Amino acid sequence: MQIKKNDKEYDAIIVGSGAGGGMTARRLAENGLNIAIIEAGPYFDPQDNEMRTQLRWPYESPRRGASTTRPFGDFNAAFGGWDIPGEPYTTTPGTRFEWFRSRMLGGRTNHWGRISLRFGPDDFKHYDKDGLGANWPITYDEIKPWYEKVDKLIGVFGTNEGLHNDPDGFFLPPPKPRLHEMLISKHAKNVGVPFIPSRLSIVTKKVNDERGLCFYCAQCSRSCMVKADFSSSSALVIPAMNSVGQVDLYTNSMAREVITDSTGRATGVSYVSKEDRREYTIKGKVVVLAAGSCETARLLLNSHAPGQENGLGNGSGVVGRYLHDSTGLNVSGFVPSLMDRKRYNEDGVGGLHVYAPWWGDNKKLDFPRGYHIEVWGGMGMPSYGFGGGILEMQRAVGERVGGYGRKMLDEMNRYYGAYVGMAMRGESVAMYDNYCEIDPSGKVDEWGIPTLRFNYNWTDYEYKQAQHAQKTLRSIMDDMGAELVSAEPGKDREYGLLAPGEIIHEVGTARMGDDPKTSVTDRWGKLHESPNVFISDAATFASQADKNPTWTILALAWRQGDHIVEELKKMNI
Amino acid sequence: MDRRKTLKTLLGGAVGTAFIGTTTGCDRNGDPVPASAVEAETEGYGLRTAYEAEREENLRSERFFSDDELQTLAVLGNIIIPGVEESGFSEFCEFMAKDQPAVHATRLRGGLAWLNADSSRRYDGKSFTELDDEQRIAIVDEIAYPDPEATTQPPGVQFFNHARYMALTAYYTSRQGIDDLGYVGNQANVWDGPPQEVLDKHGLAYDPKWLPLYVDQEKRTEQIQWDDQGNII
Ligand SMILES: Cc1cc2nc3c(=O)[nH]c(=O)nc-3n(C[C@H](O)[C@H](O)[C@H](O)COP(=O)(O)OP(=O)(O)OC[C@H]3O[C@@H](n4cnc5c(N)ncnc54)[C@H](O)[C@@H]3O)c2cc1C
Ligand code: SF4
Repeated sequence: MQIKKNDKEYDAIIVGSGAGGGMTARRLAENGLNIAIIEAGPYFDPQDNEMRTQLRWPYESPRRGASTTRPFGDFNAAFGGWDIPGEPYTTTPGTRFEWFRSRMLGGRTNHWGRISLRFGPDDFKHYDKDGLGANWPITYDEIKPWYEKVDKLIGVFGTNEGLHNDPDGFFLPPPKPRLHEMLISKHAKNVGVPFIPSRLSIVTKKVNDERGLCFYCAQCSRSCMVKADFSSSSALVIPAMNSVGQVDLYTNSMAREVITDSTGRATGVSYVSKEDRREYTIKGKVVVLAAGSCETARLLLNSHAPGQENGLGNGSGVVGRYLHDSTGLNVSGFVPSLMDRKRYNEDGVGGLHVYAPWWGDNKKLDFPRGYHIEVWGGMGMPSYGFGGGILEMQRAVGERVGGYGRKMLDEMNRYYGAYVGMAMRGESVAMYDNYCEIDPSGKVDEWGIPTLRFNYNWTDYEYKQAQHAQKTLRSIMDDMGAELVSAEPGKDREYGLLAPGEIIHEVGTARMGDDPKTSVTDRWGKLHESPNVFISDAATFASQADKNPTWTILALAWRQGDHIVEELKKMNI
Repeated sequence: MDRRKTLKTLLGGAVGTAFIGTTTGCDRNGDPVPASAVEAETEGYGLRTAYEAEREENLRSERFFSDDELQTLAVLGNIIIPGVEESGFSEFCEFMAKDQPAVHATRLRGGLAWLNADSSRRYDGKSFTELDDEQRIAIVDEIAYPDPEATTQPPGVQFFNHARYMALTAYYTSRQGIDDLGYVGNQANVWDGPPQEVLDKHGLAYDPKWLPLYVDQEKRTEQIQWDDQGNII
């Protein structure tokens, strides 16, 4: 295949336009740099009416919103999912990993949950606490100023609670809770689990002139046309393109590898254009990888420099290793006291208004890491599958199971809004043996790029945590008088744990550290073995917390962007 | 890809070319950019990727159910939920049988065949649509009530469960069903908590600690300001 050359040399090339790439792009562009963004998917702008799925009705979709081609429903703003045609991956026999990818400008930030949590002081030094995994090379205090900048630029609602490991911030005021959220909070308190207002990056009060105000449609997963939710496309990349810097956006361009000179210094990136399936290269002084943790690992493993035959920056051999996702399990049920509800618009924001940060003390428990609890329920917009649980609900309230006609509809109307659920999202321990690698069978995707194979198993740490969570969530439900849908799963069903990857918080595949023998990047996210290759996604995470990762990706990317600008100024790169 | 679509795509902003920038003059090495299967385009209910649009076009060009089958579905649907044909029930079944064949195709087709066989056995070789109302109801009443204690249900009951599922979805995702249900969202709103009478009915009250901190909707358009500690001022 002929490699085409473009003679322009950019100050920086950024691969991927999600949370990490978007933030880096904005910081570099605002500082006047000349940058290229290589993005595998098409252009996307939630403000464009033609692209809008927000405020559409289920009957506008022939499948009534079913998730046939989009795992989170037909109106969800994710171009991708667990399986992308032509872009396969595999797992080693007997192991599981689900890999969610979204190919579009803004990546997965167009439809993510907007739960925006800072990591706490302990989360950066967990090895010191329990001797497992590795410490981060940085402390909470070092990253705190960057969290503050992110809070103030993007906007996140919440409340300052003074909790040691769930730090306060610069919050917008939170929305009042919904009915079921108040009910759950009350019963959780009864069993000793404190709920607090949630922390979501949704603009409830004017934060700046760039962004609109939330009008409470509960559809952030469709991406917001007034830019009241945080999407990297509308809140970072498009502003970057309108800033003082020069931004060239290469969409539908699938990066293949980082090109280096004989010393390991990057000179550019090669990509396959999805239009003509030909390979191109562009040149840059700095390369920033932000394709999402696993894809970033894949890019490194597919890139080679003299002396770095096992993958660029992989002298330690840990590229792809220590892959870890949050743990997750769900418990849901029918709450008879929520039947016969008065109707009113209960949409609220596109996510939960309350949550429970980790309240436990692992020193007194038989598992090392914590989890937080999310909730759902309420009188939401019907979509495909609505009414699917009617038989269970009839059974729960002692009606004759089954039926048809007006009687059945009246029953359904009485049950509406009485179904609630809770989700546990926890921290797993990063393990050397959980990894992704280039598939040894030599498979390539439709762009000719070698694909990934995953190997991931939960350990006893996660199983014990899951058992604790099952008990806790079920006790809250019991206290509420809920009829649970399913019995508590045992060991054979991994205590209800979802497969690794399913929580979509995969991190750690090129972890940062001070020791090049055990880590891939330094504290700035720069490869130990290359002077000008940086990573600005969650691949650098030494450990995930019992929090969602994106606010930390954004803070680290901002910090890194400013560092790159400084280093370029000082001619250090 | 036809020109009309490409144009629409361009107008929609989902530009098919790989290059969108603030600089001009870079035309990707002067190469012509072919339209391709990766373009995103709109299809009436918000952006569909080219893969999705093409897939849907293919589905629409196929036909799964026969006229008889569709008519039987319509008759049965209207028993399950009166008027559900106005919610597009049989058309929805037709689409889903092609959209998710593994879930719906044989279940529905086989179920309809079962229904006709049962009608025929009982009523002198007549199909379900040829029966009178009373006869139809007699059959329906035998399959509409699953035994909650049984581990497996007979074929007729399984079919009816599935038909009920489809009818409920078709109905409640249509305008009529949404109105019947009383869902009043999916529009611009100012959320300020549940109505007081609802809180009273459920014996719930805001925590006094947070009540002053919730967003004051009267002031939401005013620029946020914090002190150094992150307190809103
Ligand atoms: C349904 C859902 C809910 C979520 N909820 C939350 C939440 O509430 N809170 C939270 O913190 N996180 C949440 N997440 C996770 C969050 O979306 C991710 O942490 C975040 O988007 C990661 O940012 P990123 O920049 O690393 O990657 P992404 O956002 O995935 O962006 C990567 C980009 O790189 C592009 N790309 C990939 N490969 C290539 C290549 N080879 N060449 C060029 N471009 C490439 C992709 O197309 C994509 O645009 C959620 C995710 C999903 C899917
Ligand atoms: S809930 Fe608010 S922020 Fe989310 S999409 Fe609706 S209006 Fe936008």
